[in-house]
Amino acid sequence: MKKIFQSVKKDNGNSQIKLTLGFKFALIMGITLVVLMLFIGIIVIKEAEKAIINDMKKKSQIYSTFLAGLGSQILAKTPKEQDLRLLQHYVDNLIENEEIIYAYITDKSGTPIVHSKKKKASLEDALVMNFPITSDGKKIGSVKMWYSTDYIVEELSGNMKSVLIIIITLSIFILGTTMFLVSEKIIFRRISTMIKTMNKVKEGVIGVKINDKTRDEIGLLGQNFNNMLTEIEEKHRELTILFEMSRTITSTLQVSLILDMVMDIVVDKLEVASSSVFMLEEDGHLHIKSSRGLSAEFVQERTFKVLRKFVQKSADEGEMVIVNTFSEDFAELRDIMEKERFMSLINIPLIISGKVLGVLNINAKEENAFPERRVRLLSVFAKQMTVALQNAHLYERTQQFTQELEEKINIATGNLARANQDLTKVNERLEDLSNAKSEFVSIVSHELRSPLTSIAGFVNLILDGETGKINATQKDFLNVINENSQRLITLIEDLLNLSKIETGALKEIKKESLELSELIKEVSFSCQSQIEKKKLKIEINLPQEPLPKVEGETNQIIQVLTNLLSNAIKYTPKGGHIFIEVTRIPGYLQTVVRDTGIGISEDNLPHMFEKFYRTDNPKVRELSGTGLGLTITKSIIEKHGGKIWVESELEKGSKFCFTLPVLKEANND
Amino acid sequence: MTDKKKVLIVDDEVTLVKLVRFLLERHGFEVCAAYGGQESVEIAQKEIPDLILMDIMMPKVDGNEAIKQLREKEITREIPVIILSALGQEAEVARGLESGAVDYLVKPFNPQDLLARVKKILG
Repeated sequence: MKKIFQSVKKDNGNSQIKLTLGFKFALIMGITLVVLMLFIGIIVIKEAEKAIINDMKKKSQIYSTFLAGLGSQILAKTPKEQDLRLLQHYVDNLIENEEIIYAYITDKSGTPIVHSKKKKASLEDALVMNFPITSDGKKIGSVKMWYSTDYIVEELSGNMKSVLIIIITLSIFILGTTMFLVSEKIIFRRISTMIKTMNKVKEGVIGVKINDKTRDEIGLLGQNFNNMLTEIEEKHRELTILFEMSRTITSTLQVSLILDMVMDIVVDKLEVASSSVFMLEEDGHLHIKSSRGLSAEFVQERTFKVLRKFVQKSADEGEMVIVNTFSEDFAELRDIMEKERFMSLINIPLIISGKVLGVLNINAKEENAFPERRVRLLSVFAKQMTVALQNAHLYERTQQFTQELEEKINIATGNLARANQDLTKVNERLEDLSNAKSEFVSIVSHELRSPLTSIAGFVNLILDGETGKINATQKDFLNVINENSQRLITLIEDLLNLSKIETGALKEIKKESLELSELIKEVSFSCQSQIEKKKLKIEINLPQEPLPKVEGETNQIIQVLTNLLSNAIKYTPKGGHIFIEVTRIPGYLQTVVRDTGIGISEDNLPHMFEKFYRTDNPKVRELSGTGLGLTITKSIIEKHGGKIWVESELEKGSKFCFTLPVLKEANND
Repeated sequence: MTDKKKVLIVDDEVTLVKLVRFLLERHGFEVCAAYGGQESVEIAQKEIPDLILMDIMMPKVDGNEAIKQLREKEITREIPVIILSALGQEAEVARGLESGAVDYLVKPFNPQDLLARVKKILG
């Protein structure tokens, strides 16, 4: 993805160690030890030598005193043969001492008169000691003794062993102290300086450096640390630039603005000579969209064409091109670039999802202005820029789309508003109609009631015998009139109810907490006379445990129960059974009113809750009803949030079931 | 004659007045009638009946208004009123009873039922 022309490698030669710390230590230690040993050695040897010689002198003193005493007696007069032999004997005895290698006795003139028979070694390096022999204060001769230096050395080395231990101990102590002092100077102080510097860096101080130029490990450490700091600072700078870049380019969604901003940042922050961006347009060619640092002459058609051609290559190949120096290969390009003093360039294609959007071209006035790290930064730049551009494009498209959509919505909304207006009008009219209808029903039913009251009243008066005796036929007919007027009265009642339900007067049901089982008992009790009249058996099954209360309006639930129970009574032949049972289902109570009555045929079942629906069962036709009872019942149950349904089989009986929601805080009270 | 209890029946429906009059007179009550709210107040003041049977839905002054006026006059204040009305809804019954009526009968009613209630009040 990247082509680099003539890149030059740089090496950092500053990082070699001249003298290792270990070597330094060893050197210092060695030198110190040697000097110390020498110094102490010399002193100790000198002292020992002195001590040995003193010792020898003392010893010699004893010998010589003895010999001098003897000698003075013998030499005072002319020594006899016998006396000389005695002296000889003593001199020879003297030699028996291992440190004495030779000895003789001289007379007053210094001529040896007696000398030791043996000479144990060469006298060359020997130490000579001379003791005078006196008599009455006059020197009459001397004793001369040669001491072996080998012996001294031997003695010395014997003494040295213990001295050496002292020296070594001392040396170690001194060395330790020296080492500490030296290391304090060459290690600890420097390390603590370094730590201080590092702490500063940690605290965010920028631009601090470790000022330790010594070429050892610590110096190298400091140097590496400095390099690292430089790296960090560079990274920080890059991050800052990148951050600024991303913040800037995401601050707008306008393509031209994004491009201008990027150009500014590139030129200002990366300190390059020029920056320009070419975008690929629909004609497949690159067009410059924004630039900084290009002179007017350069942008002129002829010269600019050359650069564009070169940039185009990058776009076509989708590859980054870096020219670190314009060699002969780029002669044409070099000619135009030199006029602007551009010495190197980089072309970065702006690619998203494999599609080239354009190319970012940057020129610098130095050669090799695009090392690896700068290229990396620029790549990130280009990526960010590409994403921002893509976003901007998408945004523009979205804007366009939104605008179109808005227009469409506006049109649609207008239509909708008109339709709504129409609908409102229709609704208003419907409401008016509905109100008019319910008002009509209300008036009519009231107006019907008064005459019916009179009819029923008078018929009852006659039937009750208030007007005198009537015969059986008259009574029969009057009963028909009575029953039919009762039916009319019920019908009026039901119509009124239904009208109210339909116009929403019952919309707001009163939420009372109802003891359903109590209502069932109450209703079955009020129907007791009818049940007894038909000799029906009624069975009420309630669960053992107390039932939760339900929500609803007492009167309406009573109406529901009454409707269902009176239907059961009505359509169950004499001696039949009626069962009422309540069971608990999640969130609801389910009530079932079942009878062993005439039942409902399958094709009639779906229509049972319709207004004025009459089954084709001839048995039903005989029985009076308004055809509204079940419709009202269903409305009430549904208004209460429940459900009602029917199961039945002809001749076997019917089963009406309904549910009512349980009161939320059921069981609490 | 004076031991007969007097009942005032108020209704704009002539046949109903006739029905009630027939029934009550047969059972030994003295019956007078008014056919509107305003008239009922005037007659009540004149006749001082023992009981008033009052319809509610009447043109001009309705039953509730008439009862209110009767309650305002000292002479008629204590007379018990039974409402006979076609308005059978709970709220309407409540309203009637609140205005001071002692009983409320929804039309159409059974004549025997009315008779029983009248007898109960007039003992």
